[in-house]
Amino acid sequence: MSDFEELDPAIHDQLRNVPPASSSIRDAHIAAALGEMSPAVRRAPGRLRILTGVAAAAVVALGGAAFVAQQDDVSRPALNGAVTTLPPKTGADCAPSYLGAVGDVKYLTHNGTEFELWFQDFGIIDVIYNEPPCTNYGTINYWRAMVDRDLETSVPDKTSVCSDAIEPISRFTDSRYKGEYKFILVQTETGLSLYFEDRCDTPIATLELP
Amino acid sequence: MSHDELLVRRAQRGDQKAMDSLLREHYDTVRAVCHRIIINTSDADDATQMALIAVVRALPSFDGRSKFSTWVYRIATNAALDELRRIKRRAIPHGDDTFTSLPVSDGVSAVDAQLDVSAALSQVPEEFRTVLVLRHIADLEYDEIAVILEIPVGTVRSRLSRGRAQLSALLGNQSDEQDRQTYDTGGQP
Repeated sequence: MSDFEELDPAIHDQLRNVPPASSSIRDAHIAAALGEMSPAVRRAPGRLRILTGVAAAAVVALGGAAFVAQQDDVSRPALNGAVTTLPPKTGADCAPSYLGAVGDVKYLTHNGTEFELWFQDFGIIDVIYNEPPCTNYGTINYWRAMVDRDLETSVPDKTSVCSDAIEPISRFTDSRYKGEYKFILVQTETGLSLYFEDRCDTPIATLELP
Repeated sequence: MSHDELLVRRAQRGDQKAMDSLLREHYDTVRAVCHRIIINTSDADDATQMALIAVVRALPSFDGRSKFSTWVYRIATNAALDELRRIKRRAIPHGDDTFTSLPVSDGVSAVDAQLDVSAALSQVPEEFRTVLVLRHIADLEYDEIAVILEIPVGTVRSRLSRGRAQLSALLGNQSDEQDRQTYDTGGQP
């Protein structure tokens, strides 16, 4: 490539001159990422509290217009679309050997396929096929929803609280990012939808299931 | 086998120190990619964190068909663009996408220069800015950028050209031709 095609060297230098992160931020970022490396080194969610839940393998039938699932790019399975395969298990239940790695495990059946839901750090809910080799089907990530909500300067015009009559897969509270937020995870005809409990109009994230 | 390849293999086998080394080795560039695409520091730091987590989570699926660095910067780029989309959703539209000349410092102060380039970059359209960042910060080749952004190499070339022209104009270098002639004759820019 000739110089003619390159940027002015002075601008090029300015462009690359991003002030470095402090060592504490760098270490925190890397430590958090390493926490995702393997079940053995994953940390259990610190202040994640699962408030209520339903029995294993529960199938929740939902009605009502408030729960029309909407696709949201927050729900994309992974940034690069990768599917992570975990080590094979001998039994049909994937979770027991990972207990301690995840905060809580829920089970559901969708169109005859059994899944496990692993509630993890950093606002991540992994959806795992409940049979060897325990492949990760997809991920619901709600961390950004907490960040975005924290940044809100005004309350949306229209909100509605999720009805107590709804039988969710899980109601839980997560206070790891500044405020304390209550969530409700429900199974729909097409998959999973996650809502703030006090904003049942629009899902934070949805994940279609096969 | 390259240093990265060795570390990747070890990390894929569960070696945490190898993973730590990989992340530290690429941290600055991942962060720079996020910062230059997003501009805003705190949002860029969020994207950096998400990118690193995504790298670790997806490492078992990395098959080595591309360079590890290219793969990592792809994830960083996706994380940054993902963050941008979220920012746009929550932001009040400013309604003015045209770029105009900025007040340019004399280049004496590094802080001024930093502000200048950040301000200028923020006015370069996202598709041009992303290509500029991948080329000039991540040091990726045209074909690698094309793969990451899923666009033809020719589009990479044209976006780079237009991005450079806009950035240069915004920073006060109004004439690329003048610069070219200056370089061509070995003079000072």
